Amino acid sequence: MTIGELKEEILGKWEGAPAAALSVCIIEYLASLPAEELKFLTFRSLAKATPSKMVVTAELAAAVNILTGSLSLLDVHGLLIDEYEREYDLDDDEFAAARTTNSVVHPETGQIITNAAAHIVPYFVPTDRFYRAIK
Amino acid sequence: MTDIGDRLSAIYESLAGGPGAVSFDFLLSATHAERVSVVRNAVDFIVRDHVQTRNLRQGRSEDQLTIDVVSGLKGMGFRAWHDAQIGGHTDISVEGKDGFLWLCEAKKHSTYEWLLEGFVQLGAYCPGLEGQDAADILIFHYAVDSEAVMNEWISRLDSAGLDVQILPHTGDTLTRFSRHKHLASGRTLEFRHKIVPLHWQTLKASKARAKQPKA
Repeated sequence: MTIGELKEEILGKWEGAPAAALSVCIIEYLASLPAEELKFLTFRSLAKATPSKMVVTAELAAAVNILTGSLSLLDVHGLLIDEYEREYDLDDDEFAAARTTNSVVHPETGQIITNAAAHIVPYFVPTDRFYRAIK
Repeated sequence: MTDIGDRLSAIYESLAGGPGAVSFDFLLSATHAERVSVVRNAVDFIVRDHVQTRNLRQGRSEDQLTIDVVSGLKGMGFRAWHDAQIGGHTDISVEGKDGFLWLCEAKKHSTYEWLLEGFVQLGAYCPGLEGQDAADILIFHYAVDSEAVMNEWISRLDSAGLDVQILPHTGDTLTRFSRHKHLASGRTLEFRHKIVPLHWQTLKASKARAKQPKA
């Protein structure tokens, strides 16, 4: 599937939804970035593709929902940042457990970090499907 | 490089418990159970708005009411369909990652037989596979006392001879859950039954006064 076909699918399937046009803007924005910058995309960095720039809005959440859902253009992961600003990648199970319990075990010290939501950065990575589309 | 605004807590704070938070919940959801829960939250969010604006929604057809819900779901970024061909013509369906599929039969209440027909249809439409075994029956109700209708519906379903297990109340008397065996797969289907009270009438001051006891 080409990027043009992807856009067509989104605009057709989500016709009338403001998030559809926004998700197309995000695709175009990501396609314009150097490969290095695609390795770690925060939610707010995706907002750079939108008219509101760094502002987190419901429309942005809906647009990213389109891209991460069954379209499978973006994968989401979790990064733990401890009190010393050290960063640790969480695997999918750890990330899911941290979200549901709002606590996470520190990968090095083994200590339980409560209020995990304040220590976790969700980030996005384009999927193979996305890379195939922009080729 | 990240800053505090990139963290989960800050994102949810910005989304302020609104529809964006529901979208965000769904894109983060990692299990089918979580996905079902988020889709149901989304439906609750949408129909809550419909109830609040029911004065503008009088006289709508079953199809129009159903499309209103589908539009709301699409607005939140769900891959939602109206009348998709999934084991039959499913009123509402939502697809997600890893083969997730949630179905919904939307009925404008007229008779309990009509609801029972919807229940049986929904059971037939459900694939019954993992991640495809939860569904909702949405009952749009334009007459008074939706709670009484829900109680009667559940009572009739319980005695319909369909081997359905009715689950205890969860607190909201306008919502109930049931389980029954999927005919083809033999797995358990979980249905949520939700009634949407849309009755509305203007009460003119003269009529309201007439109802007051005379001094």
